[in-house]
Amino acid sequence: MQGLPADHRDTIIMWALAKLDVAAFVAASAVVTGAALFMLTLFLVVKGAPPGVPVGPHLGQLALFFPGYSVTATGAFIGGAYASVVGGIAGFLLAVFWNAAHALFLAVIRMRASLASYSID
Amino acid sequence: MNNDAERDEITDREVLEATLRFNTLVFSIILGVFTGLTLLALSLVARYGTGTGRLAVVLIGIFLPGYGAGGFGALLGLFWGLLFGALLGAGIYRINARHVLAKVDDLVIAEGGSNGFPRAVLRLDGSSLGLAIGTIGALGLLATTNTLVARGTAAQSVHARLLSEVLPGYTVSVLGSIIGAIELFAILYVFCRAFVSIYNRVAGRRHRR
Repeated sequence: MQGLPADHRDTIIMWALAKLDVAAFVAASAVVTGAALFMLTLFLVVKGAPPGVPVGPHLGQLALFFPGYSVTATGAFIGGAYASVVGGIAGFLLAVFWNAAHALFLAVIRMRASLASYSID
Repeated sequence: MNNDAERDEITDREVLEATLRFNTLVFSIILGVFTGLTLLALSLVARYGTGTGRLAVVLIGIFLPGYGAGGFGALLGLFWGLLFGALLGAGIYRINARHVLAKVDDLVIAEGGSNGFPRAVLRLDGSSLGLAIGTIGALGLLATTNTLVARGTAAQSVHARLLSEVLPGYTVSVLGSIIGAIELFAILYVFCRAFVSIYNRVAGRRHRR
């Protein structure tokens, strides 16, 4: 690796300690998880099943957790909405814990820096 | 002059390694706790609920020795979840960061700061995240499928075979697992690109560079 200029090194530290934008992370998580279940359901609906065989019986068991969900076109929208909520919550928790860990780390560094300055005085 | 350059290089590496170690640890802990608590909750729901999720617990138990519905099985699930979640987290973060470091200037939105500590908002890199999560997902599918093949229970693995509904060409065999892994990698890569695109767009609007 080449020796980096000082400001580039600062950028690396800034990147390493950067916080996640919680709202953006929640939005992205919600959209992607919602779209995933929506598309998965719709894919199975379009693919269909032989006469007399239910479509997506295993995926349909999600109805136990998501009341109203079914492997149908309407169910795809309902499932997508539920999955968005679950994904959004997971994204929120991940972003908040990530930010909290970094805030804690920075607080410790600040505290150690101020303690060091007292000992010099 | 040469000594200065060498010292600079060592310092750069130390800075990089220290920041990577810290972030890998943080991400591992978060993912480990998430996975562990999810397995614990699933086990308790399967044991004390109305039978919901029992099949999922049984299927996961094939790969995590001792994991089952309720009590001791739940605690073992917590342990395995912590372990595998942490390993997955470390893998994802390391693969992601390897490629991110080359373009670090594009991945922060500086926000100023206080007490000499500049703060910034993180931007993500779609191809790096896609590569990281796609690789881990594909390796996971390869490992689980080939565990079933090695156990000699591939023929009875009706639930694993269901994956062929969404991954055409996948079978519970060595060749099928490779085909499935390639498809899963592609799907995860596309979803990660979409995720990062939304995140960066929203974050960019809320925090002007």
